[in-house]
Parts: sequence; structure tokens; C-alpha cells
Amino acid sequence: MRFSPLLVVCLLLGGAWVLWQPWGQGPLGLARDASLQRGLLHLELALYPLALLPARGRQNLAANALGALATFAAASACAWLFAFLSAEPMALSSRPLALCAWLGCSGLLAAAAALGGADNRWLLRARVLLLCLLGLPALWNYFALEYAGATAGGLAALSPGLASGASPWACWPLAVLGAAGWAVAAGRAWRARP
Amino acid sequence: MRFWLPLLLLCLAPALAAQKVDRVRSGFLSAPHGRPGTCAPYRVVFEAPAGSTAEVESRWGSVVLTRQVAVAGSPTQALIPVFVDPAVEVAVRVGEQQETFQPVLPPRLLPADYNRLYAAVFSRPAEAGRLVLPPEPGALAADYFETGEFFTDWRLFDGYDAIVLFNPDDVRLPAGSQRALAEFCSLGGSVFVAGSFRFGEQAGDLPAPGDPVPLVFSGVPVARYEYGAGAIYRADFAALRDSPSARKVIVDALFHHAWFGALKAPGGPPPARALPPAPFSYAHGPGAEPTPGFWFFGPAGLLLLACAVGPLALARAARLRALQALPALGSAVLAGGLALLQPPPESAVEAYALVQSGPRNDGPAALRAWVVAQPQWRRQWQVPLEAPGVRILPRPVAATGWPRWEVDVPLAAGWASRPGVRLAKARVGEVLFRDYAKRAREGSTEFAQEQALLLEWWLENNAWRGREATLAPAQEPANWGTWLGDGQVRLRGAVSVTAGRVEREN
Repeated sequence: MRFSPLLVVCLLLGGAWVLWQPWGQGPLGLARDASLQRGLLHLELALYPLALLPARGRQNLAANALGALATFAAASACAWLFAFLSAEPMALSSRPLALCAWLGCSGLLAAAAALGGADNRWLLRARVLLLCLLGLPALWNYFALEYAGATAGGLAALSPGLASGASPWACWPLAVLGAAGWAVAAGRAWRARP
Repeated sequence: MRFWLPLLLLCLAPALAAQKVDRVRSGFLSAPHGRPGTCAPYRVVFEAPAGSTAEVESRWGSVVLTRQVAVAGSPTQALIPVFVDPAVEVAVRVGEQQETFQPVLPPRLLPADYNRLYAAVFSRPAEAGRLVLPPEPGALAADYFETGEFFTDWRLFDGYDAIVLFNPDDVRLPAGSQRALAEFCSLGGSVFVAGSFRFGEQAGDLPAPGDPVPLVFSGVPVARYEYGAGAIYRADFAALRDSPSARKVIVDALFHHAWFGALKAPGGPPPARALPPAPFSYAHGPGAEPTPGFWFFGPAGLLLLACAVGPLALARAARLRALQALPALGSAVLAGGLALLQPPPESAVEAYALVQSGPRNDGPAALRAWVVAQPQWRRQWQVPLEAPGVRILPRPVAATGWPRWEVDVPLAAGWASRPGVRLAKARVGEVLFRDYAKRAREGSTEFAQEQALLLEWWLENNAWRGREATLAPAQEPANWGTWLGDGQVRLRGAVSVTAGRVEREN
């Protein structure tokens, strides 16, 4: 978790540099305007399951929490840095959504790290689950439309990628899940022998 | 008891409104008629302290038309254009206090129709106009006014197809009437005058009408003066008075304009105020892209440095493991705060414009623009009715996403158009209009691809039987969007339309 903020900052700034180049904009249909900022916000939401790596053990609980918080703060600072691209307060209005995504990811991963064995099996499983849930909204959309015959609206409460056009607190179930995860991790750490 | 009452009134005085609207005497002057979605003249009668200044507002969604009224006596009257729509509100404000109410809409709504014209008739007295030109169900609806009350703002005429003026006594029209008529005609309206114009002002900056074209309706000679997309018909009052069918002369002249000179109505609906379904996807124009400055690079460098060096600097302090994230956290808060110092770019404003002009190149023209802007641009579009310069009329358009408006701009000068193509009998040149629109979208005509969006919309809505027009790519003048105010304005496409006419034998 020590270098999670650095990882997020590097990926966001590097991603922005790529998208700023004409050869990077063309294939993605972006321009040097609000569309680029929106693209970076999507990237930020997809980074949380990848960037957070909580460590096991009671002594690491505070470090995990502070590291996750620093990661969220660094990602938010990056989002604000790109506010010059658009007159819309997009960075500010997307914070509740990013908070939900961050809380869900960090809480679930912290609980998995606390519950998992020495080989971190549960942590890896939780990461895969979060990637499917949050990082692959296009795939979810495809499955929902093709096989379930339903609209993707029901998935918006779980996937920030789908909820980015909805209300800021659309992902509140993730926040609840994250809070519960942190409670489990804290309880487990409290009962564990030092 | 006699002491209590004044004391009570004194205590309640601040809570009492400084103005009071007389809702019984306030109302649409055009009642019982009104055209949905357009402005109609509305008289607001209110009481306010003498010497104060009242602000009368007509609100429709995000559009607010305002008029300042100096209160001299009591009651005070103000004439203001009010949209004929259930969501409209009228407000009277004196100082900090205001009274808002929803006006009662006219019961008889008259949508635009080629077969039924809607006219404002001015005469002295107003009843004389009704005698000469009575309403005719299915053909003519009319509102009657006193000549001395002639409107001096075209927005009060917005809902009408035509204006009829009987002025045999050479009554002087109020100052501003000449400009109002010119603006009304430039937007496609027609004016029939029996007698003389005697304008209250001599506006030298207005474009002159075209040369008179002699016409005869039911034996009465009438001169037609083209004025942009509109026209002025003028007849001698004595000849009209002596004619056994004066009403028919006037109605025929009005239909002569509305039907583009043909003997029967064109097919389809009349040109309506509708939004082109073209997609609005904003992109900055060349050279207008936002660029990062010091308040981007400085905080970004600080953030990178703190995130990289902070954990390494604290790595040896095993007991402070939990604190290794603090440099990143602190620098993120600082960088985020400094990033807020970046000036945001101006709000993006995009427009499509349809330039409506007459057959003369140097004649008057008018603009109908469709404007879409970022939500931060303005919450309300305030239009002071007394403001000098271009007298625009925006209308809100219900749409998802960015807010949109439709704006009428009369007497828009300086728009140049290249030689165009002619639409006749649903063909552009030799090609069916839909095929031509497809070619335009592909960029193989004289229209740019963004102009093609507007061209296709116009053709789909206007290529009906009896409609002929010359269409051309239009080039905007340098200061075309001053009426839009601030913002990063971009014109995505402009098309010039000159309606063709079938001059019949009379």
C-alpha cells in the first residue's frame, strides 16, 4: 500500500499524456476538452481494485486504512488537476461516486486480507470479483442486454462505470459493502493475537 | 382600540408588498387568441409607490424577458411580451419585493396554419378595423387594436403572421414602430397598410425595402415591397374604401405572401419553430483548446515527488509504518487545493444558424439560431427589452443534456452566402432532395458536412409541394454572436435560405 498513491498518480498522469497526444485521441474519439476529463475519471474508477493491496495482520490495519485514504486523496487531486479542461465542475461532482467506489474496493479488499489465509487466496478472489464488478462495465452491459434481456440500469448501483452518468450517489451499495468490509477487518484484527 | 390599529399596521408594514398586481385588469391583449410557443402582448396592471422603478418580468423556463417601468401614478400599466405556454410566469418586482403569478392563457390557441392566418389589426378606432376586416373562421383570426397603441417591439408581434394598419388620417405611430415593423418583416411577417405609415421616428440605419411590385387584388391596385423574408403591401385607402370587397383584397394580399404567390396553400405544415435533430457534440475550435499552466504542473510535480519520496524517507522507521502514507495524503490535499486555483475555461456555446433573406443580396436578413451551451454558461437567459442593439428573442427548448435555446435575431447584417442550389418540386437541381442531403452529408456538394446537418433538417421539413427556395452555404460576419454574450462561442454551420415565389397573374 505504500506506493499505491504513486501508482495511481503515475497511471492517471501518464494516461492523460497519452490521451493528450493526437495519436492517442483519435482511436478513442476524445478531444482536449471535457471528454478527456471524463475519460480520466473513468480510468480513476477502474484503478481502485488494481491499486489497493492491503497487508494482513493487526499491525497493518492502520497502515492499510491510511494508505487507502492517501490513494483516494491522490486520485482526487489528479482529477482536480484536470479541471482546466472543462467549465463543468466534473471533478467535484464525481467525488461521491469515486468515494463509493473507493470505499467498496478498499473495504472488500481489507476484509479479504483479514480473512484470507497466508497465501492471500481471498484477497486475489476479491480483486477478481471487484474487477468484474467495476472494471468491466462494458462486459456486464453486454451480458445484461444479450442474455438477461434487461437494461443495464440495474447494474448502475454496483458499477461506477455504468453509474457515471447517473446520480452522484448511485453506487451507495458499494459504500455500504465497503463500510461492512472495514468493520469485518477491524473486528478480525481486534480479536487476533498480537 | 384606536391606538392599536395603527400600531399593528406599523408592525406589519415591512411584511406588506411594495407592489400589488391587479390580476383582474392584467391579461393578454390578444385574448381570446394566442399562438402556442410564441410571445403575445400582455398588459400588467399594478400598484406601486410613485417614484419607484418596477421591473416586470416574463419568465418561461430559463428565458426571462425584463422591462423597467418608472412608476409615475397609480395604477401603473406595462406592456410586455409573454410566452403562450402553461409554464410561463409573470413577476413584478419593486426593490427587494416581488409578486409572481401565472397568467391565464388565452382560451383559443391558434397553431401555425397555411390556411388560417393570424393578424394584428390597427385602426382608429379599433372597432373600425373589425368592420372592414372581420375575422373569418378557418381563414383569418384577428386581434384589433387602436392605432395609437401600435407596438414598438417586434416581440409583441411574435405570434402574428401579419399586421394590418388602417391609417387614413395620417396618425403618427409611436416612436420605435418603424424598427418593430422592419424587424417583424425581416423574420418573414407581412404588413398590409391602407393609408400611410407615419412613423414616430426616422431610423436611418434600417435597410430599405425593395422596389414596389404592382399587383391587383379584386380590382384594387396594391404595391408589394419585398423586405427580407417578409413583405409590405400598400394600398390607397380611398381605393380600398370604394371597393366592394375590401376584406377580400386584404386577405388575398396576406395569403399572397403566406402562400409564396401561389393560388393554393403549399403542402405540409408552415415553417415551424422546431429544433433540428442534429447532434450537438462540442469540440473546441482550432487554437481554442485549454492548456495546462503553472497551477497544473506545480501541484502535479509536488504530488509525484511526495508520493515517491515520502514512503522511502519513512521506510526505515518501522514503528512509523502506519505514517508512511501521510506525505502522500498531505501533498494530495495541498495539490488538490492548489489545483482549484486554475481558471476554468469559458463555457462552450455552440450554434447552428439559418439565415432567412430575400432575393436581394444587400437586403435585410434574419437569423434563426439553435444554441446549446454547457450548463455553467447561464442559469437564466435575461433579455432586457429596452436594451439597445439587436433585439433577440430566445425560447427554451426541452431537451436532455445541455440546455438549448432557439433564438430569433431580426435584421442580422453581414452574412455572406455563396451561389446556392435551387429547391423546386422536391428536387435540388436534378436530384431528389433526400439524395442531395445524403450527398451533402458525404461532403460532395458545396455544403460543408456540418452545414449538411442543418440542410438535411430544413429539406425534410420544407420540401413540400409548393415550396421553392434557394439554399446556400452562409459565411458569418466577424461579430455575428455578440448577442450571445460571454462564452466560447462556435458556429457549427450556417445555411442561407431564400424562399422562392410563384408570382401569379392577378
